[in-house]
Amino acid sequence: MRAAVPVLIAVFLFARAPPPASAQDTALEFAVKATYLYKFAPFVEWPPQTFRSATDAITLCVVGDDPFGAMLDQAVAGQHVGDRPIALRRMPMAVRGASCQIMFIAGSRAQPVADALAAVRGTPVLTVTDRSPESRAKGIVNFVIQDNRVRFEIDNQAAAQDRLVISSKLLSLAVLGRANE
Amino acid sequence: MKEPATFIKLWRLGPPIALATVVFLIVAGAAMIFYNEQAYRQQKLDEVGVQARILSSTVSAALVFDDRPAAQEYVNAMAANFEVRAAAIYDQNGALFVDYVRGNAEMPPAQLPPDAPRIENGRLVVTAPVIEGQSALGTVYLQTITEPFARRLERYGIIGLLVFMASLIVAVLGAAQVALGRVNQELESRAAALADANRQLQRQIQERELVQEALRQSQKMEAIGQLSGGIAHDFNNLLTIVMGNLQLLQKRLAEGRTDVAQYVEFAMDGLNRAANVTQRILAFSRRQPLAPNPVKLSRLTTEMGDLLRQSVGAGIAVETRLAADWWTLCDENQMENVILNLAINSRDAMPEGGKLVIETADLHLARPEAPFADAPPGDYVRLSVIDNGAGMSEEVRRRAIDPFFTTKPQGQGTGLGLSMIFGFIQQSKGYFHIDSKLGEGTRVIMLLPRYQGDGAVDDAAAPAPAASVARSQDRPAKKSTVLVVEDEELVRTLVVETIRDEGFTVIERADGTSALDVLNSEVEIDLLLSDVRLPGANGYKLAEIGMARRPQMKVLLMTGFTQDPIPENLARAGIIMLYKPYKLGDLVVYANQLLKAKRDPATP
Repeated sequence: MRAAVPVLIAVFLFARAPPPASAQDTALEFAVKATYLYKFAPFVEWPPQTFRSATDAITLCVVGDDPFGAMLDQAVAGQHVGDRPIALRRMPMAVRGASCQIMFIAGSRAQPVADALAAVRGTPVLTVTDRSPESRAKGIVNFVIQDNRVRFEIDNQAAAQDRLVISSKLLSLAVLGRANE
Repeated sequence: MKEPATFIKLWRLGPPIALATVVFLIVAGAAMIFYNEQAYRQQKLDEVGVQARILSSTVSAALVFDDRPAAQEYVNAMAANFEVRAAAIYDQNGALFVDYVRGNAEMPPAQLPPDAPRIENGRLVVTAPVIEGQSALGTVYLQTITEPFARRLERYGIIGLLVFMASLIVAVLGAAQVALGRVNQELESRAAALADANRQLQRQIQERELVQEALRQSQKMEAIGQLSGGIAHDFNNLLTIVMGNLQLLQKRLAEGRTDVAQYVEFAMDGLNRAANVTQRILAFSRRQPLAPNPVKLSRLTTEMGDLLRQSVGAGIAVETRLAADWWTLCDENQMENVILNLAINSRDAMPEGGKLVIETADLHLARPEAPFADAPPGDYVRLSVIDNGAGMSEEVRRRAIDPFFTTKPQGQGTGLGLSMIFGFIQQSKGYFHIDSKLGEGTRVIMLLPRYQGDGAVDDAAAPAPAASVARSQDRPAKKSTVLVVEDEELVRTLVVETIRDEGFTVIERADGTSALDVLNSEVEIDLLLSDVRLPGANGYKLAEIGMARRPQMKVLLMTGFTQDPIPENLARAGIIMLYKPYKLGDLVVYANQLLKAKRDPATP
């Protein structure tokens, strides 16, 4: 409530402008994804031992080649989920036990997306991938483009294996999840 | 009168109270409707608010992730509630995200309205924030219709109707109270008028009582005047006789003459007549000493037959109809006097001759009857004396028993005859009535109560006690001592002299106290001869104390007041009472009788 969303993001996200055209502006697409990343947090429940206190930050990690740049820093800056601030970390490779709650896995030459996913599988980390075509390279959340809009798939089974509980409200918005149900 | 006044005042308070109640009811009804309306609005707001919160919580993800189709689905779902006219979701900046509008309802504004919740024109607008994890994400807008005004009006109409009915009842009650108050007022004024009339009546009664009292007083004074005048007249005549003869006696004695016996005789005759007058007055005043005995009036009348015929003379036929057989209780001698007196009255009413009827009858009165309306029911013996003489007018008849009232010429009648008879009959507990018409004769009727006590069975009359007294001629032993107590000096002197002439020793005292001293001393006294009314100790007291101390002493009491009876205890002790005026000879006879009894106790 106290969070003031930057005007730029607000314009991208909420202006009743027509959705991005087929030759979409990559920058706009990633701006939307950057805001989506931390917005998943209220709809996800981590195991209780994940945080030491009620004000511990939720750490958002970007693994591999960062597609957002400063855009993400701006989007996250000053955002809170409840009493928890959002902390942003960038890391070249996914490391098990890196204490990330949300991990956007962009992949890199050194560690492809699937490897990175495998590295943190089984730990309570909400993994997010971007438009992975193959299932083994899809995180729990996988961004897709549908009707020229940024949507997402959710693998609730993988989430459950990683001891995460995802709100049904979020699940109902997921593309596959919606199809599955 | 104080309480009814307060009561009526309370009644007069009725109409204002009724008015106040009506006003109160209307205000209360309005307040009730107002409160109901407020409560209804609040309830509606709460209801719609809950729906808005449900929508806000379901739509949060769709809003966050900009999923219009999903959000639209949620918003459209509100259509299921027919009361919802429009629904919308606004984003964090208050810009419209999705909306739903039913029919021609008012569109949600493009920007979030700031003044929700509100109710206007039957529409209810409510907003609710969309919050996920304590972050405000946007706002839900809901517009519903409220219950139609007509329906609410209907609901409030029932309340209004109830209020109206209650007011009507109160108004009717108030009106009834007003009417009652008026009736009360009227009653009050009537009661006041009645009380006024009553007061007036009371005053009139009092005035009448005063007049009657004055009349009574004047009649009494007239009667007393007549009585005292009559007495004075009779006594003056008699005194003239006595004084004249005594003066002549004095004169003749001074002249040395001895043929004076006739003067003494004339004087004595006058005095006897005077004594007779006082006897008659006493009879009228019902205070003559009577010796009532069981008497059969039929027998009495039979025995008087010769006397009656002699008294009325040859020109008058005497007839007796003697049917009575019951006993009565009266003084036989006085009864004879009564019959004789009435017979003589009848004779005087029949100077040309006529018929005298004396009638007796037993009479049972089942209830009081005229002319003896005051006689209680019971058995009576009736005695009637009837003549066919001149009779009397009503006025004379009414005054006939007044003392000294007489129709006879001056000097021929005392006017005491009928009043004496009346007094005697009354004293004998009987009833007396005169029935007469001018020119048709007179009928005197007397009722005496039937006597059924002791002695009634004994047909023979009781022997007169006076006979035994009269028989005792024996002289007692001389030198008996007599104590004479009398405060009236002349009487005392007379008595003392008479007693002394009989040869007794006399001690005389003028009052009770000194007489007591004598009785308490050791002096021997055989007979106490005492007046009843005395200064110091009265005669009864002297008799009691004296006899207690001297059981053998005899007592002879004298009194001028016939209402002084002999107390029971003294009568049993054999005390004799002499009523004044008495003849000195009687005094001597009684004194001797008592002293003889003292000497010889065997004789009663």
